[in-house]
Amino acid sequence: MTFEQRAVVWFVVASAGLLAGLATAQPALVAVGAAFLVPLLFGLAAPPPRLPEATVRVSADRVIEGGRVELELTLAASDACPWLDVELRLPERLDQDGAPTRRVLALDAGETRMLEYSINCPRWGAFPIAQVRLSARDQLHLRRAELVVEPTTTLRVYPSVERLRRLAGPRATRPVTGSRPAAVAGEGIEFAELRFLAPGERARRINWRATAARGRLLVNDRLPERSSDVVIFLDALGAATTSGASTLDHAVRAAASLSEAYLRQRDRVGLLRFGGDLEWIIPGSGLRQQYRIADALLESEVARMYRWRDTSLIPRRILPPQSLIVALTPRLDWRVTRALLNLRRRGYQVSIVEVDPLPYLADAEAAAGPIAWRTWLLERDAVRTRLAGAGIALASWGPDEPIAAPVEALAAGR
Amino acid sequence: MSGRRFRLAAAAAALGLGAVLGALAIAYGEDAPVWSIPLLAAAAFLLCELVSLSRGPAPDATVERPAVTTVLVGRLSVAALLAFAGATVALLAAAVPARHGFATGLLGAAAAAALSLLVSAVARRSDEA
Repeated sequence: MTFEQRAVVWFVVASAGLLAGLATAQPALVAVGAAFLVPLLFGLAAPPPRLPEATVRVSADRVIEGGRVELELTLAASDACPWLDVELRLPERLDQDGAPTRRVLALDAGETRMLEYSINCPRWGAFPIAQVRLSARDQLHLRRAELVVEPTTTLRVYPSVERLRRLAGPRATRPVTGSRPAAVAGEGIEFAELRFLAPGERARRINWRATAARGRLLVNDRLPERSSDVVIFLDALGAATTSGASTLDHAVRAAASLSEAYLRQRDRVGLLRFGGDLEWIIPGSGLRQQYRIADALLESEVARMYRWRDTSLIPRRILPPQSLIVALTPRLDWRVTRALLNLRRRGYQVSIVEVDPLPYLADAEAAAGPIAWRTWLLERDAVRTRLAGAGIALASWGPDEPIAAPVEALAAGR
Repeated sequence: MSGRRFRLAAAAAALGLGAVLGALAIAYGEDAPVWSIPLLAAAAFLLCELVSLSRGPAPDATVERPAVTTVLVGRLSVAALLAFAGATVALLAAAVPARHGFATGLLGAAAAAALSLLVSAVARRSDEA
């Protein structure tokens, strides 16, 4: 509990009035001093302000981007609280809808009030929710009691997932059943080709219609359905941002969509976040892996780093041999380009979805000057050519386009 | 009521009261009657309160009606009455002739103690209510 500044002012005015009245023998000054002294005594004699008990309840702790959660703040006052300032402090990326975040209430003794807030979640992320600051004052506002209720819940806002129909497939498959036709023929459902019957083959594989047409015994060759390894490489070293969005926002959404689509095809999917700290999720399959990747994506933040970072730090088990690496990057940091080229040289199949940073850099041309800007664009083109020369497929993705556009472009290029 | 409106209302009231006090000061100067001193002291106190309120709640806050009522009744009215009572008692005490010496001192101390007890009792009672 602390004294308000006005209590000190009252005391000073009262003391000054009384002393000046005594010194100058002016009753009027004594009267003015007493006019401040008596309310001060009254206020100090009253019991100090007591804060109500605050409980925060959130309707859900997991929500999809663009969703909404309801927050209930319950205030139970054991003593009367004539002036209670309630402030709900939300993380920067959450919007409060409707009711104001600051309210001034008066609670009677034993009264319980419930304040409801509707919170919009426009952007993915993991947010501690919600800090509440309570400030109670006594009747004459001479003393103040404050309490900050720290958040106890973490609201996880998952990125929205776009349904992808066609994906860039890895060249190699694993000897595990999946949904992807293998490169070599075997027992499966997917038709591969017709060939002549070889001794020892099963009669049920004979294609009688083709045999009748050609006059020789022909059999159907089929492709077995296999799964493959896909690693999503998320560049968190640099991002182009505007006030409302960034390339990382889009990259995370794309990573969520890609991981969901590959996992739906029963592939093993891993995540490699190339940022300040190298973080990864070992490839796996199934719904649990999808949640694991989604949880890891929520913690993606741009981490500026100036030390050397290369792919030698990546453990071998993160990148299974012959796996497909799908990189999501705005190509703003040369270390990312170098890392991807290294991975390609190590024999991995690398595809890049370039999250186009140019729409976010509208003011950069004016700031850097036309020559610098043009040089930078030429450098980007040169790097792009170098990547293509190394056998890395690259598709550019604008902020207003669906993620399906670059992904299908990569799939068509294969 | 929004915090901005609350502050504006308090500032407007403070300006109005200040204008009235200023006009009175210009009109009467040092010729103000003695009986008006407690009223003027209470008015000056009220003016300070209104100025303080005009810097009170955050502009983006919502001040609920019970809180406004509490401020009007509990803070402004009660405090102004107390200020008036204090100034009146002080003025009456000053009017007691000084020649009674020791008796006046005893009377003053007793009056101050009684006033203090009264204020304390009223404060506790109002809080319990």
